[in-house]
Amino acid sequence: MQVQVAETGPCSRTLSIQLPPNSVQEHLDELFSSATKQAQRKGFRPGKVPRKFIEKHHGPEILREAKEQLVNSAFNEACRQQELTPVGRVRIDDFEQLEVKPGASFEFKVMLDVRPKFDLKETKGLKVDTFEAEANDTDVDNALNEIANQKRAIKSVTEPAKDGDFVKADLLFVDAGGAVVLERKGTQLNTRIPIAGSDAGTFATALTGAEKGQQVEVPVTFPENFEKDSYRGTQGMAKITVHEVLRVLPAPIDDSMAKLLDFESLDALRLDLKSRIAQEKVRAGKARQEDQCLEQLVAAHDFPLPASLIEEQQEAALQNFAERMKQKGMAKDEIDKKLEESKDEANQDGQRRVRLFFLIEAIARQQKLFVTETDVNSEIQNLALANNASPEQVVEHLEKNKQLGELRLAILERKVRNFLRDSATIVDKQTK
Amino acid sequence: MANPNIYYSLIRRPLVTEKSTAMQELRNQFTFEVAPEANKSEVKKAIETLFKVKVEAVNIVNLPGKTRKTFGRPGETPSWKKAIVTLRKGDSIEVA
Repeated sequence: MQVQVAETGPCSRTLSIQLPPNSVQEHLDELFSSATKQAQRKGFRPGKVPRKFIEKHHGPEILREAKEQLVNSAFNEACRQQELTPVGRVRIDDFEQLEVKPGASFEFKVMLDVRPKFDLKETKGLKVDTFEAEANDTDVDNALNEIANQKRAIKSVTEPAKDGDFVKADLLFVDAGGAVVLERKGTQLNTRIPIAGSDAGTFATALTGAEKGQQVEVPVTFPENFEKDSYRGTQGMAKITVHEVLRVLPAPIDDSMAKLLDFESLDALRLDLKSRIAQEKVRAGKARQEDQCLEQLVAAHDFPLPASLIEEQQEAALQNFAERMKQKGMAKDEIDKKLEESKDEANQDGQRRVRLFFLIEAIARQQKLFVTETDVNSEIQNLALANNASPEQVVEHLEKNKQLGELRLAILERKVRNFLRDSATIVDKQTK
Repeated sequence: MANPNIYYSLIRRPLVTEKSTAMQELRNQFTFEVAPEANKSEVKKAIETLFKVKVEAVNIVNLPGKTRKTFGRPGETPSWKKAIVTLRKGDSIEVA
């Protein structure tokens, strides 16, 4: 096999591979002989169908299969020979037009990207900001207010109705002459939702400030779906007698709210929140420090990147973006427009990700950080616990979606981030 | 010369089996299923006209039908006629 390597860019190579006629023929013979052994045809014992029949009936498919196998095996062999490690997409020049001919040599060209070569600069002592690891009373109060807001309920109040309040009222519709048209008792109304046929502003003004026992009047034009056919489209008045003012109120922050959340008292809840907030602050603070380290490294390393990897990242990001917009119910034209606008940003983001990937890989190599089977197993256990599944189910899912490699990569990234943070220098004592 | 279309009804199909393939390779003999009323000279004429080859000999074999049971009822497959045609050396018919 003859291989010629052309350097077509800092990270791209073109391999011209030529297979001699005898190795092509050998491979074809192997394929035909294996097909002959498997072939079944009426009139022949299994495995006794002559090769000429196989060539005539299955020749094109076998030649196609031979082409794929020859390209794969020759490409892998060429990479081994030339000590090349391809990354990203491998493109075969005119693959569809390539033809394997018995007794003839087989030539093809492969365009591939390779890992960039760069010198890793200092990774220890990167400057990071300190962070606050304790939760203060304001944090706890904010968290309690948020919980109280989540547990809000509709309650009766003695005050006049405010904007957004509900009222329980009797409705009396009268015509322009003052004659009763229709009565509805015990209706629940909201100041922001006008009754059919009334003006929203007039309705809100009339109802806001109304107290229990008070009657307010709102002019209406009886709507097209009004119960009484003869009044539809005519002018009238809605007389609203308020019986009760209802308001959505947050839950009171006291022991009762704590008990709702399975805590003995408000103090116990505050203590738990304090510890959780502190944990979250530490986690966020560490992540921020790691990001700072990585940003400094990205800024300090300017090396050429494999174009195909950036394209892959860009495409994945755009696809993800399109998927999210589609779920939001956006129209196709609008999605296409947004995608076009986001292309540059996705490309920049892709470049950053690819650069980070190579940096993380280089740091791991330099610091001899490896992902062991124990790491993978413990991660699988954690995933199983988090998802309420068995470790076997998690492994099956990961294998099915070909995500085991990604899992290893995520573990490696975490190890590198930990290393960078642990060996960083804290320069700013100012809390964030 | 007779209309070649009549030969298509005489020569029904080539028989492609392990044995017929071996006979092609060893003796340049090609096997066909032919119409029950066909005789050796008609088969010879038909093969020479349809395939543009020279026939040296024709052997005819009458094959009786076989008894077969269909849904438990006894029946019989039709009897048929096989012609083994020996071609002149160098001539060949593509039958695969």
